[in-house]
Amino acid sequence: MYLVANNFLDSTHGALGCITCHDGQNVSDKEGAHQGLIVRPSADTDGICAQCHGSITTSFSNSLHSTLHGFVSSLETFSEPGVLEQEGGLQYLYENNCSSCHASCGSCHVSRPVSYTGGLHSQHEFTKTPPMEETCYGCHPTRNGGEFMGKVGYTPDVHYQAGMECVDCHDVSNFHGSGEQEMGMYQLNSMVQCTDCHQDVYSGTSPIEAHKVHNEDLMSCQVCHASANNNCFDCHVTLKDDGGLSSTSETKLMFKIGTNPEITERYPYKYVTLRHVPTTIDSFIQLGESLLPNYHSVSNWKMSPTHNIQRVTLQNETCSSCHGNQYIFLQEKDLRDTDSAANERVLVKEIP
Amino acid sequence: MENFFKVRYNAAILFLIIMAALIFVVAGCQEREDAQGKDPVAHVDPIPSESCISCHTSADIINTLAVTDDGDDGHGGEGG
Repeated sequence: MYLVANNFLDSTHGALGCITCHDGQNVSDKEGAHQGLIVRPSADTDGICAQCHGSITTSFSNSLHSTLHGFVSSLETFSEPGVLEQEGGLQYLYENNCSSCHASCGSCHVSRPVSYTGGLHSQHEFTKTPPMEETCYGCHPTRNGGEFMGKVGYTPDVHYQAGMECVDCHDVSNFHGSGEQEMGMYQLNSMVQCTDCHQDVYSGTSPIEAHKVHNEDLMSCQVCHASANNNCFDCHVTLKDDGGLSSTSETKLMFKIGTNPEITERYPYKYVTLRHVPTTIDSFIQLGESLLPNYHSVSNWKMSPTHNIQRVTLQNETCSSCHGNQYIFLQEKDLRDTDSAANERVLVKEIP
Repeated sequence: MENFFKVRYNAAILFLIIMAALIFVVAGCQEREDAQGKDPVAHVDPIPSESCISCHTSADIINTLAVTDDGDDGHGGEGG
């Protein structure tokens, strides 16, 4: 719906007139008025928004929300670096599906994502803080966004129940970019950590015994405080007659703790919560043979900062809820025939 | 003598009140400047758009012309 509020016309942006941003013609017939119309003026990061908000648009153009480098690096890791620059199935996939997801100024501050419902979220008024339910959730509904709000899984995150929104934890640079060329969210220095707010947990002064006996590097906070998350398996992309793409995958709510396959200074934990990603070796078989030659060198059970935190969970109720509980640690028997051989690295071989 | 101290005391109080007011005004201005960001505001000339506005502010008209964006065939968000 493209109904515009009268209030908007009195705002700074509204006073510029529709045509200043959208082009088109100031005539009364619909076809003539829409000649040359630019539906999403902010899709060009160097365009109209940059005239007044240049420092943000410059930073944003290198951000993950704009470049989608997270998708790029996932596909390249399963295949090979530079594969999306070569003509072929993965390039077709990226250009006809993945790349349609990238955000622009307007897709958060003015409208809803096309993949959600499209249209304007506040009758064209520019919202300084975009409404989480219609913007963040619009693009992140199946996993962290949906889990945070309780639309996926069992219980909303305690922070959501306390009235918090995405922007209360995530720094604005997680949306507008840090100014650097961003390669993946786990490389971002500005990514929030629980201890930014919960500073007493590892200080030795916490009144909670479990915080004293588990050291900081042993496990991520989610290992004790997350609930079951949404896991996708065996995604298959279908090429339709008109050239469009669609996909289906099996989803399952599960809670699995695994071994952190990539210990870094920022993520030093031995144990982390996991999530199964949809990709399987023949996910894109309709677009070409052997498109993922490195499939077995990358695990498809991934570290996940699951966003459905609870104070009390099934695994932290008592010591024995976790210790010795074979159901919550990823083991060989949990792997599917279609899984990557690299999942070996995240298995918990000796249950603590 | 007592009067002398009273005058000095009143002057000191007045000085403090003026300083507080100055700090309040300067800090307020600073905050406004920060809120507007570092970007210079470009001069953008408005373009008359009354024809667009007359349709797009009318719920009756927009409802009869409503179109929906193409979805993505149920792919949904895969991020995060």
